[in-house]
Amino acid sequence: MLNDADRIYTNLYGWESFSLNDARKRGDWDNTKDILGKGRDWIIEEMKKSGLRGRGGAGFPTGMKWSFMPKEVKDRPHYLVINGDESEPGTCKDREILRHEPHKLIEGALIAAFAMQAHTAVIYVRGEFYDEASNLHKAILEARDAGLLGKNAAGSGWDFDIILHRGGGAYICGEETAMLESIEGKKGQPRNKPPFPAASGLYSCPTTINNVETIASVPAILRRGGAWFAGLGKDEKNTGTKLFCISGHVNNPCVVEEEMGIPMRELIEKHAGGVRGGWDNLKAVIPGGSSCPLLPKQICDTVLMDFDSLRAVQSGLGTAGLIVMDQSTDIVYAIARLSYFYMHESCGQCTPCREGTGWMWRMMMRLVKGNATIEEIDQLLDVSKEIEGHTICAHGDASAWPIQGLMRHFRNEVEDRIHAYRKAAKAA
Amino acid sequence: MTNFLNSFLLVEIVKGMMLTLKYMFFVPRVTINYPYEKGPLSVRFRGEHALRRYPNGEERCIACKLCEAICPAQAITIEAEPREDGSRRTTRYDIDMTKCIYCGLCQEACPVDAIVEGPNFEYATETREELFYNKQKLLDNGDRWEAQIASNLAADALYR
Amino acid sequence: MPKLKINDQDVEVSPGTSILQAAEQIGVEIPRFCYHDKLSVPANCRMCLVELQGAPKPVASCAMAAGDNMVVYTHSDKVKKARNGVMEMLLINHPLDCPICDQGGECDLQDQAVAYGFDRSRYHEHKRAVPDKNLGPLIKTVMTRCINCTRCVRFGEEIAGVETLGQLNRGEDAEIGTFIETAVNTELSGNMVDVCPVGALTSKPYAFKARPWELKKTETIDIHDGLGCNIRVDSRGSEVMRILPRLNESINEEWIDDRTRYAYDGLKKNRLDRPYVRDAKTKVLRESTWEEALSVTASALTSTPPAQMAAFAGDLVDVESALALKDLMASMGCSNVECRVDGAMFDPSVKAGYVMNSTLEGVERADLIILVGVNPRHEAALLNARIRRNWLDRRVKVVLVGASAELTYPYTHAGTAPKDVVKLAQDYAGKAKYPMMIVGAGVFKRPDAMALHALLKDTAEKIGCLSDDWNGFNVLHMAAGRVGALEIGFYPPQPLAIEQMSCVYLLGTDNPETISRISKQAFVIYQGHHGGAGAARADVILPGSAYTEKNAIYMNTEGRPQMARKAVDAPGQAREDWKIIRALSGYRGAPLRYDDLSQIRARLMREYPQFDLMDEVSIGSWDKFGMSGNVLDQSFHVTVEDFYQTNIITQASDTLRECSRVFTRGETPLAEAAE
Repeated sequence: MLNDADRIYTNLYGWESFSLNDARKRGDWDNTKDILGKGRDWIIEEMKKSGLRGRGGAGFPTGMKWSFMPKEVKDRPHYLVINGDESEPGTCKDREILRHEPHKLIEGALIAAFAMQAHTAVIYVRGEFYDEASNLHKAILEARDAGLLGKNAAGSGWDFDIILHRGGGAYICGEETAMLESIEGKKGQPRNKPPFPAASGLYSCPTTINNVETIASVPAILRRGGAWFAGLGKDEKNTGTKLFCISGHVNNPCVVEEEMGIPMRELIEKHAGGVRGGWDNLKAVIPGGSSCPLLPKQICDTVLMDFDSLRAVQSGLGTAGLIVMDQSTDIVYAIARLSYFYMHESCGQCTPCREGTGWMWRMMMRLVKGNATIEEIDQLLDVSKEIEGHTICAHGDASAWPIQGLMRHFRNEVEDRIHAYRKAAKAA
Repeated sequence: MTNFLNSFLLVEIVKGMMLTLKYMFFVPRVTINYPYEKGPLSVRFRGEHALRRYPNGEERCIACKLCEAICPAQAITIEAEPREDGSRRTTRYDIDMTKCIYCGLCQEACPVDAIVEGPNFEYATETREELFYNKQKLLDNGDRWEAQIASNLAADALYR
Repeated sequence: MPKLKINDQDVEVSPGTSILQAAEQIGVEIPRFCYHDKLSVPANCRMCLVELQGAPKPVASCAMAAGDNMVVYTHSDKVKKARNGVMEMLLINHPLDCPICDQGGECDLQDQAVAYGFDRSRYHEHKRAVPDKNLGPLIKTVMTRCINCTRCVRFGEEIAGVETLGQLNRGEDAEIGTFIETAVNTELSGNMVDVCPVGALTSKPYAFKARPWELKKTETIDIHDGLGCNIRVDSRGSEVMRILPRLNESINEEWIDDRTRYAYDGLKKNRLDRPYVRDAKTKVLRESTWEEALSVTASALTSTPPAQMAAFAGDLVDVESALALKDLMASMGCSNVECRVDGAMFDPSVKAGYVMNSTLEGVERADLIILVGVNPRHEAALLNARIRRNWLDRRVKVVLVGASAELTYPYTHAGTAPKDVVKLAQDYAGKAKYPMMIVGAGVFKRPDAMALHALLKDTAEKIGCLSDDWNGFNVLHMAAGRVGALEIGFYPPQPLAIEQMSCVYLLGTDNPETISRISKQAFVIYQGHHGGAGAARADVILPGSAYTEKNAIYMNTEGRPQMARKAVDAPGQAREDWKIIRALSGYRGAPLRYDDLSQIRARLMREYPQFDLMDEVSIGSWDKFGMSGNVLDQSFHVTVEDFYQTNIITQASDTLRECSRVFTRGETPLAEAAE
């Protein structure tokens, strides 16, 4: 349970305005130039000490990611790209930051860009986020007027500015290299890695891509010290606070900042008003956005919400977008609807994802009715294994995992449906 | 002594003649009275070739040239080009029936059951040239024999 | 030099080589669809996945650069499963078109499915279908078969320089097409048919005609432009069914242009297949026999004084025939032989003055390219592709003096007349290390040709085209037979007064610049393969062979001799050209001293040893050429008006006439009937 004193985000629900004045009152932009004055080595060390892991879903240690950038700027400028293409189903945290606390993001961008010797940051905001992009844009203008962006940003001696880029409406543009392609004006199709963006990214220049929440947490961490952040959370691998988005069959769906490692039951019952109809009415929870395999109730009773605990039960923290499903859910149709999402959002570049996601969706739709044979369940799992690991980006893996999760925990339900359908067909 | 009697009384010859007599009068006839009676044929019998059509009249052959490639005697010659409606059809489909060895590989190879070996074996001609079948001849064969070909195919379809 | 282990075998490669290329070096084949060694690497088909020790998932071997101490397995169970999976994915939406698909028998998908796929399908859902696109008269599309490898898109963007094709929509609905309905207007469009690994893009003129296993493949040389592109002629019986490129890194790499590829249907029309003699009384050409035609010709030749006889070797003439004709003329004491039948009267005395001295491979080294009166896109499309590649890789500066044109790369248009060339010498002298000047041979079709030739030589020297290891002065010929004829001395000591000739021997010559100057009283003998302007004027027609019908040597514009091979027989009574001349010499009573091909080649190589260096370029030394004099202030004219109608074979081709209608004149392509 997080103390209010340890909170990073103080205007998450927009009870105060997002203007620069109000943001300053909440502590943003407080002596930013001192932080920069401590030097980039200090900044990166503090980030490593804090144990902050990427909040966009992959959970890669941020300090380590920043240290991958070349130590010297050669003939190509460095870039920071901030991923605000929040399209993972179940996730709605970045929009709160963009709408209500954009100055945390802008200040974090300045600090992060300084640490990696970038003079320009591009914030990529999902095209469907109109208010969010509009608020962020206003905040950027305010910051420029106040001298916090531009030449000698915030009086630190470092020139820095931000480009706000709005996307065209594709989930795949949230993948880091697809985002780079989109910013460059091309089709949002992921690139092959290697080469990694730290070597050759935006316009083939060294680039780091971080999530909005990650960057927005940076000023608080550096102000209060990496050790403070590391002191919160479960252990040294899962530190700090996280914005959890709880939606679905709960009484009070919300976004809440909580300590990493909080038990899922406590999170849902304390902040989201508990599962609709009581905890025993719970069927399954998808813990981290649709790409993470679901967890049945018996695991949800005791599991902790952090990267490693969820990895241990064959799921993942992802973006911490919890989708809570109670006993009234047709779990097979829910996963089938997710398969449709992945099919629709596939970019079409590589063969397994382009062809396979459609195949899996069609098989799932038949399984919803039960119009299949028992062997086809294993065939579906086999197909998902053929896609997983053989694609250019993680979209293929993400499309395979929900189905694997369904079969792992709710296979009997699928089989029952098949038996029922066959019985009905025979009777007819 | 027995040998002497056997050869003197022509025993073996008599035995042979008795056999012939038996078959002449006391055993049922097996000779059939062709052309008024004909022997039974299997549905898999391979006889005169024919090019079949679909029920709506469209010719089946799509000039894939698999039959030409597989024919061990290189008896089939095909030339093709787009028809006016854009579909793929042959302009020449010749089978040299004097080269053909009636193996049936062409009908096995055909993916659309266009070329088949029908049940007809009574097509002797007086000149060699008449045995160089062209597409028109083969299509006519097909039209003439379609009913029986179709029923043969249906009967054998399980095993193909 | 990274050293890695592939399947427990050591291999050392140059840095930057991918694992797939390293495996090819040791003979390990890795299946692939989207990778092509001349195009950029997209790694999107995922068929080339291999197991890399230490990597959590299989890696795409076409994209991963080979690193030191890598351990790679290409036949492990993991890899087999990956390949099975990808193959299965490709086939779920692929239509069951093999019997009606032209790619059957030479299809990558078929071959790799047999080698690396399942034997049955597990897919019971709906298959998607994609509407066909009308890409013009040369490319037939059945887009349902497309596997989205994007090779055609990359070819258009990178090699051809036209971004007509692209991938529309996303995911399952992804299809390759043109955003607006338009034909693919590039002279290299036929190569898209080659790169497509399945039957989505096929050759429209060749549609449904033949299967690859029934074709006889002959490796020979193309004559539609001066580059001598290496081709493979596929024939069935006596008919040429199609023409495909052969790999030659020095000339055409893996590509050929559309004229080379699709002109073959012109080989069946307008053919001269029997001798003709013009009746003395009715003045009409009538069919004749070889005996009559040859004796009429022999008597005409014998009865004409040598000074009034002239022989012309046309654009498509091979070296042996030109040599035989020169010998025939010499045996009659006549030196009035001329190969510059298009009227381009440059100085033929120095080899370096009329060949492409830098060679085609030298285009890649140049850091400044000056185009003088030439449109390389129309005159030598593969040369244009090389210039484009140099521009893509290193942004080479290109300057054009002459008529402007769309070349697929940007250039500075520095003028249109010789005086602008002179100005270039001031602007660019010493600015580049390897400057290259490419002069179109057609610029010399003017009265001041010799003076212009000298002027260009001077300008090239001033710009710095000549240095110890580099000769950047190049003349680009469009005629395949020109350089070979020049090398054997098929030109007169003084320009011929054609109007005064009373007996003219036209060997494959239909150029109006020559024919219009022949006097009405002259006796004209035409030896060639197609009926055209030359045959119409002739008094005797001796039917010869086209380039696919004879074993012959052609020398390309670099001065590289190459061997062309006979693929099919000439139609009717036509014969090979040098044999006709040899027979004619027999009728004259003074037979030439060779009776078969090896003997005439021995004669050729004895006297002109540069022809012995087959497939190689021999350097010509730099010497003075041209004649200094007054250069007229006349703009360089356009040599090629219509890319698709440049010689007598192309004019007989229906396919190229349709191309000319659609691409040169911009009319609408014919609508295609759907299958």
